[in-house]
Amino acid sequence: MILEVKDLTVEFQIGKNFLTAVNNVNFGLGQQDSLGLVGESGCGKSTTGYALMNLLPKNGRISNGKVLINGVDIVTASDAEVRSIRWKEISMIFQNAMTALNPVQKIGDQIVNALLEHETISRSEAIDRASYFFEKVGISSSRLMQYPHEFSGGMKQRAVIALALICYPKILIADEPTTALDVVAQRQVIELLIDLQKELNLSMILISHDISAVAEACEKIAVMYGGEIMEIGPTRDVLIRNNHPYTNALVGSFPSLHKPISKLTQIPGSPPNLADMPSGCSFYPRCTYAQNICLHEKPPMRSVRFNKLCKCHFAEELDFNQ
Amino acid sequence: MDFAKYIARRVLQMIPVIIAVTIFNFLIINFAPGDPVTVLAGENATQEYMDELREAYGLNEPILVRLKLYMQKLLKGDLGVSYTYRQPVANIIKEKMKVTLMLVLLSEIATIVVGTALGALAARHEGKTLDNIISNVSMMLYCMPVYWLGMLLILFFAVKLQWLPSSGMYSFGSQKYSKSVDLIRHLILPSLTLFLVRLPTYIKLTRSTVVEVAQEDYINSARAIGYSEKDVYKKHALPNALLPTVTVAGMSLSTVFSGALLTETVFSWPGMGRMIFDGVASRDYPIIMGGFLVTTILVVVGSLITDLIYMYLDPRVVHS
Repeated sequence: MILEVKDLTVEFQIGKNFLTAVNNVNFGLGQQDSLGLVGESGCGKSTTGYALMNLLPKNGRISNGKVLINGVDIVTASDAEVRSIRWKEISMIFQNAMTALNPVQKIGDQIVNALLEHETISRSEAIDRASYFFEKVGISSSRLMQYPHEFSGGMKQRAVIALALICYPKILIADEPTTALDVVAQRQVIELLIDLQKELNLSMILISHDISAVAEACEKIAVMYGGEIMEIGPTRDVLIRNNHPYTNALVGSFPSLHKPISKLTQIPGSPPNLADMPSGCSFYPRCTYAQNICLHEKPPMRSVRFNKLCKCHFAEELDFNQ
Repeated sequence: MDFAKYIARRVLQMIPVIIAVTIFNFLIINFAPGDPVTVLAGENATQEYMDELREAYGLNEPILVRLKLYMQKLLKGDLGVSYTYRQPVANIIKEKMKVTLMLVLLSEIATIVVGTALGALAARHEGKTLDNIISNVSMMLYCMPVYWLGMLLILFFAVKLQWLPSSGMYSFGSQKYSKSVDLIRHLILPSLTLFLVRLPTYIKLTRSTVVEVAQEDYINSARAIGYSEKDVYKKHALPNALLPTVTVAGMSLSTVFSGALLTETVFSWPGMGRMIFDGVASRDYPIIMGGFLVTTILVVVGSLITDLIYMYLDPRVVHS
């Protein structure tokens, strides 16, 4: 395992209260594995991504759990250790490529400086590698010495990918890498990520609310709701033969390319308020299968068919097939 | 050659501004109450003597005729002759400017550098002890009037400790120090006063902009890349936060030259500020006009320089 997340819990301080944004999340990632994190806005998927780099906002903290990167726990590591792990071992494609680059620095300089921060090589070698990655993501290396505002949205996203890969990281977190792009550019970026993942032996975590993108790019998928992983397992088995009512509802709200057009279903209600979480299962207020037990008892994570883990009292009985 | 064209156009645009401001200044000064002749002639002058003076300085011509004459001379580069100094205004300004520069240039540069650095440091430690210390001390300095702070420094360093001279540019009769050392010793207190008085502006300005920039996504990117907090602020947040500082610094160019009037007064520093102040007191029209002209030009040039530095600092600003 190159990445092991154990009982990860993240809290945010709002006023005097601590809100749990990520609750007891567990998963692992082997070399060249790819895992998709999906869920509605505010379900904790991006926060999980940032926690993996120990990069939470000032009011956020990892209150429990471990994030082992190559065996080193980034939660308890010293500042210097954390900084040396960042980008070199685990790097990130940011959610908003439009604003993720420093507007007053040439893109090439930003990439080269990131590389020089982690490796003792000459500047010209660093420039060579930046050019290599620029070409790799499909941008002419002649544009290295341009500023972010001279790039289109799609190009910025590609530049951000080049920046993320420059140190040959082992783990790549892609946080909504396609959100800000038009559909054509979205497709290109996803394909690029799939190619790069194979070519560079990357272990990848793709955070997205676009289930189809994750289905295409990832072998495994974790469905998050209210800061918890509700169902995790092989992508196909989670999406098509799901066991959690939430997964079922989420998948049902997306159009399928392979089946005749049918009416999309919506999930009633809205995501839970972190300040006022339901007592039992966090999904029960919106769940059509909820029973009395769901109201009072938090369902434990359990193994279900197809090598999946599922957090539902009735996971064994609810064998959905789409 | 786009750039040269841009500069040329900007410089051409300055000319009407300067002319308009000069005319306005001329009218304002002449319509203001007070008469240079009464000041020049002294208390017990006879009416004939005053008329004579008025005739000699051309002050009995109608105001528009005088304005025309002044503008004509100005176009030839002639700023007129001072009533009180009885010397060409251009020469006086040249002399005073040097004296003011000595005082103001170094302290202003120090203010910008130190103020920006302290502001960024406070922003980096936002809400913590260091920030509180820097912010409170700068607030305290901000609230101190120049003359009071100047007096305090004089009281402490010149009177009580007797380390430094209290005022003027040179000591008379003392051979204790060489001329240049003597000058430097005279410069310390007024420079320090100016430095301390202007410092809070840059600290507050930089702190608030850096705090704002620190929220940007690319700052988080820099952290993710693994830069130290120091580098995150120094190399990423600060360069993005410098634009307002440049604006204030550019606009202060005119203040810098026309002198920190109060500081020059407190320390009897014979610079531009004192010159304009004395000029107003004695209704020395050519001196006032000359001083104002220099100030006007510096404001205009200052804003051009500001725009040029903007372009350098922020590639998104394009001259158009």
